[in-house]
Amino acid sequence: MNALIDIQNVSLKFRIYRNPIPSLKEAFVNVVLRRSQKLDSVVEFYALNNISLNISGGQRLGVIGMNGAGKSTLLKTIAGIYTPHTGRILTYGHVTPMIELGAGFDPEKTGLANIYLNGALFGKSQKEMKLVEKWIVDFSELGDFINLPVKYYSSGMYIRLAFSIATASSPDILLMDEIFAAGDAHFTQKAYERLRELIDSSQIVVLVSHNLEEIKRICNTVVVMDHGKIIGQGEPNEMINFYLSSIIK
Amino acid sequence: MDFTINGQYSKRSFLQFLKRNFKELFIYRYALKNFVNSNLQNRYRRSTLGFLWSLLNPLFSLIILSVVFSLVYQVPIQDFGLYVFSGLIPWQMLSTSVLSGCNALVSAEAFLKKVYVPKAIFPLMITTTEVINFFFSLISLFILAIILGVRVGWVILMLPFAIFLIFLFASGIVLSVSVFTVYFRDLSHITQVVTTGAFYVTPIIYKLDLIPQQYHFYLKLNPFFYFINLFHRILYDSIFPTWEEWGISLGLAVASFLFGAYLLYKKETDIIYRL
Repeated sequence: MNALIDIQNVSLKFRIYRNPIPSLKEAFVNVVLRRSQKLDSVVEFYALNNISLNISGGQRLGVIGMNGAGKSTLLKTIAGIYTPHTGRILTYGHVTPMIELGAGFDPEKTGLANIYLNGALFGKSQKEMKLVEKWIVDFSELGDFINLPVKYYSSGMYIRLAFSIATASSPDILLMDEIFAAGDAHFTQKAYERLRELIDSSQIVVLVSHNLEEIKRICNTVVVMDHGKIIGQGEPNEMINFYLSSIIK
Repeated sequence: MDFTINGQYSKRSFLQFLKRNFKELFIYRYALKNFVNSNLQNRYRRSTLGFLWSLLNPLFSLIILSVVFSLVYQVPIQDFGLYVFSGLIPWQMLSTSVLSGCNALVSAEAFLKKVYVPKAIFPLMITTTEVINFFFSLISLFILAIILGVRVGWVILMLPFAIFLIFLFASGIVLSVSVFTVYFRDLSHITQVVTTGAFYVTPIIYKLDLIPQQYHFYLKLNPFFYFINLFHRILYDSIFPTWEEWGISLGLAVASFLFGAYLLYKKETDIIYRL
């Protein structure tokens, strides 16, 4: 069966606290002085507002929108990092998030050690990673750098390693947030080809990007987000034009 | 491939929460292993003696403590040294777990916000690290026992059960304090005071007989007492702990673990917003 993401009426509320680092001392003082605890939570807003979306195998979905539209939050909710306050997301298949470049890398450890560390964070066993280790080293073209601690890597090398690890074991669902920014033209080309290969084996890629050319090249469906809502969904060129005309008013 | 549902009604009951977490911990066991490994490496990396420190450190602190206290109490050093050590190493496991456990979730912010990892990994990684350290300390205890010419009995085979109980107990406390610390960041200062106090009300550097009988009731209100006592029985007295002693420890360990797990169950989806 094909991979699947089914999002139904998902809303997610963010609360901003006046006091981001609460302490027991203050809570105690508040109780003694009979101050209301509610004072602490200040602004509430919906980062995702009643979103419904169905993504099935073979789809390369692009998500575009202005800063703060909720694109990254949507990705993180699909990844299970946030739990929606209402509605639900059903996923079928192994989800590999690439939310931030090299998230979960241990800078002190070598590239090779980080392959295993990162794989483990995606729920992969040492054995599974052993099988793809050589592929990762080759694809990332890091050569001897693979034996150096990743803190000495350039951001381009970082992204190459991170991308190679994430796509090595053919994830069913790959979530990417603005990750091509640091790669050079040669690697970006290779990455596109790799993504196309993944699509052929009927997997899902969800890509958040401000680079509209990139969206056009990779995606076959695009959704436009604004203030936590999906305001448009359809064919890439059409949606990009809609997005451009709606922001440049 | 697996179905996953992410939504408020995906966590229905506490039992389902436990089941899901055990399943996820099994899937992410390599992540746990990696974290524990780097924890241990970080602790001893920048020293030439490396892992040898984990043997030498307790050995030195033991020698100091037993010399000092056998002088103070005027008891033979051989006997008292073994007594102190058999109580001190489980105590160190408990107190270090609790103290470093406060920040388990808070300091995992970078992971929790960028990849999906079961949250229980971070508290459990602390207790697992400490249990492994405990084994190193045990080795130095055995070295000492050989030097002092102590006879080791069959009851030593009960040790794994006692270690499992103290692991469960510590994990429960660490789960609780790590969740609490997300909401009250100054909790670690309080736990520091509490653990220092608990050290003195638990018979570790003195024997229970030293305390007048009428106060024993109060000392036994202290849950730490029962776990340290198990190790005193097995390692020092070299006798099989009574079923009552096992039973109380098991009860406390399970209660502590369930309490910690319940706290995480209640706050699991909210923690991410408060980090």
